[in-house]
Amino acid sequence: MNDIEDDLKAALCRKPAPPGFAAKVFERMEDGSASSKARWKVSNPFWMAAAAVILMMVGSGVVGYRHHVRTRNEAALNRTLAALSIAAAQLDEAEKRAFPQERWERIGKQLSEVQSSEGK
Amino acid sequence: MDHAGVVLGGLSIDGEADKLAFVDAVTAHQSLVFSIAYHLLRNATLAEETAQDVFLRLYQDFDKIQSASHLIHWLRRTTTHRCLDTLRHSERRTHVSLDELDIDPPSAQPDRDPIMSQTLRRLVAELPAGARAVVVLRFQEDLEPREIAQMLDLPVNTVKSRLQRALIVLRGKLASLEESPHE
Repeated sequence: MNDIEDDLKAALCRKPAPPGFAAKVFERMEDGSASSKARWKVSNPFWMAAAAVILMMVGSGVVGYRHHVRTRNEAALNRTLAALSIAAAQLDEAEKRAFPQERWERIGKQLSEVQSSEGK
Repeated sequence: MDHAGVVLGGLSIDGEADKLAFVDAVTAHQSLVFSIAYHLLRNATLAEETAQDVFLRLYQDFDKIQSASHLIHWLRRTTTHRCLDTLRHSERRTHVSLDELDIDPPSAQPDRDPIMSQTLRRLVAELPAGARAVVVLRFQEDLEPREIAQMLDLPVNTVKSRLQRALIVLRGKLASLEESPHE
């Protein structure tokens, strides 16, 4: 019987890689390592346009947000002023109730009398 | 003999010296990687793709290679494991029918018995993936069972028994082919 092990060594000897194998490896290697640079150079206009669109969206979002904040602040200010106005009116009303007009007039008259008597 | 003059160290792949060493490694060991892939996968196209993937992986891990012998060990191990993964996940499973086999690529040296060699290659392709890997590493790369066990992360006795059973199966099939009349 033949020694199968010798036959297996002959049958399974190394075979040369296909022609151009090394070149294909280097090509894939270069594609992989330079992909970030190449992609930037080759499709730069595309990425620039995409970046511009995104920036515009973000920018408009920022402007919109600022406008929103300003509007909100102005509304808050107006509400505060209105509240103060109401408070002032209420205070005035309270004063009037506490010190009716005729009383002010009476007090004024008394002061006048006092001043005229002192003048004699 | 493989190019033993390749000096590899822990240099960054960006260095010119390492780039040249990598080119040298591809040129020197492409047949090793391709042959392991081909004998395991039995498909030249798939073997070429797998071999390219192995070298691309080497490119990424090149700074981990410590010596020329480490490089060869790394290539054998990575190629074998990648092929076994492919066989596990592909629909081909572990057995390849004779009808699916590619025409054998030419060998570097002429076969003393091309018909026997072709027959044996086809019979090896019919072995389960694990046994096939053991046979290829033993007879293509001339590795001892201990080395094969380390490479495949298997116990030595498992490797020895797989090898023994594979040889028994191959002898039996060869004998059957020799006894059966040719049609």
